[in-house]
Amino acid sequence: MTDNIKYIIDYSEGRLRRREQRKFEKELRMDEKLFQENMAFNQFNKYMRAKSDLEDVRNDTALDEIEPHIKEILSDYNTKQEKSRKNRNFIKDSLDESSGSDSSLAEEIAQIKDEINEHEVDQISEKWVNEWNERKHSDEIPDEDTREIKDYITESLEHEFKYSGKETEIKRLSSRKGVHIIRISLLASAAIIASLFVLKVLIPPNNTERLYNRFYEPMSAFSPVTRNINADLMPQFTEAVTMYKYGEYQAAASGFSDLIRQDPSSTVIQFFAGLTQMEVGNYSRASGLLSTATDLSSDYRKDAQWYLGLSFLKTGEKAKAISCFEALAESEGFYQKKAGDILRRLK
Amino acid sequence: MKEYTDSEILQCLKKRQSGVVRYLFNRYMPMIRLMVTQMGGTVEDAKDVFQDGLIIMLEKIDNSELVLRCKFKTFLYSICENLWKAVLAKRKAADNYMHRRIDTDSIKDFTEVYDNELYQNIFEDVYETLDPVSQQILKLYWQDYSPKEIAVKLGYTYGYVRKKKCESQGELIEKLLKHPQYKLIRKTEEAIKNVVYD
Repeated sequence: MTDNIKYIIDYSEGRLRRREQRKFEKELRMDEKLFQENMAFNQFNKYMRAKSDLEDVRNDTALDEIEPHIKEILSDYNTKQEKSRKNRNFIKDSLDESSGSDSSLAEEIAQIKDEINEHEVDQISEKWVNEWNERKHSDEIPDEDTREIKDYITESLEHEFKYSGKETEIKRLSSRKGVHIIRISLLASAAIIASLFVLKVLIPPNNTERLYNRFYEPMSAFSPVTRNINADLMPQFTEAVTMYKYGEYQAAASGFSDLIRQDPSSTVIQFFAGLTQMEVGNYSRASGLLSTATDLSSDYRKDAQWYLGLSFLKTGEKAKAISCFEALAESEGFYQKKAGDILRRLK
Repeated sequence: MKEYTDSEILQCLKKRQSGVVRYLFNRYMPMIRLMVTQMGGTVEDAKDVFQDGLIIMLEKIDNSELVLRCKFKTFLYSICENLWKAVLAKRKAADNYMHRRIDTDSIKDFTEVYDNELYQNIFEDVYETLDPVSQQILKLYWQDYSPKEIAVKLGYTYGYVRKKKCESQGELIEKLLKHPQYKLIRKTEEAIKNVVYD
């Protein structure tokens, strides 16, 4: 086995830390042997995985069953393509980001953009910048606090530029326009620093109940995955999910209990039953059901792990909750960031 | 590669998390590419089909019209295959189809398809040289089973599966890099690249 193969496998399977990932990517550009081996590894894996996927999909009995439905969807799509411009841009932009040369950097930028969208940071920063611009053009003499912040940031940045050999960047920005840009950047930086202080003060101390209240929200069961449900039970399952969706939790709970009696092995039913039990305040029953739904074969295993962790938070079982969130934080996906946030507060 | 569950994919798409699109591209684009190239298309065709396929799924998720009664990848495949068949039908129906095909791109397309086939044959050859246990372990790994699951399925210890998987992958790469035809294609590709960039 070559010296590099373990390194390549660890990188491709996401086992390297961010700093190690960057080091690997840098080495890829410098080390021809590593580059060739990595390329061969990726080509091989991609082909064999694709071949395996094709076999799997073509042997899937559902493929023929969904064919008429797919044809309907496509005919619908072809008649109103204009509507999908926004979605097209989203997909295109996301795919463009992945074709960048430094994938981890592109990924970091993409994560930042997602976070900006999710928390509507754009609106807040736009408001701050507008306020700053208004004050800047109003000939108003800056108060002492503003001057102090400005001096602090200017001096710190000058020091940073000096010691990182970037004095030229300051010189380059010494034109009138440049000075304006620096002023705006400085105030924006000051505002960010100030907001971090404010956030730190506002964030409540670690308390499992508070964390539960902060992070819990009902599952958005907008596109249920139903492939492992007995066809005879589908109408009743759909009805119970609809009740959950519309907040009729008692009725949903009774529907899911009935479904469990008819099919005790379905992890999908157990998952939704667990969610419903959380809503009616029966957390120990919820934990039992959700725990079963974390089975590796379950379609909702990660969702179940998330809600199980929250249920443990609610009942104050911190160690069990940590174990759930640790598993999620290690695994790329919808819950990774949120689980990481909770863990930081719990530990 | 760490896996998203189908339910997570739907939730992330609904929330417009761009990471999931990149994940889907890395995870399922090779499958769509293989399907399209097997059915006479190019890599560029596959990219277009893949992109359109995702847009269609996104619309259905937005409208709450999507209920996954099969695996996500089966659904995506089915949409992409139908999209590609529609493209093929359109191309065949075009009056100037034959004329359009005989342009400079056709040479590039032919080379691309030929190289793809050549690569595929080499990969199959190299895979066949592995011992049966290595083949079994890697096959399950490519089917998204984790080392833990593979260990349970084949009755080995977790440690053995991890070690064997790593060794087998190492052996594959070594054999691939020494394969005369692989070396030849890589050499040709490098030469073309140098001509283009010099």
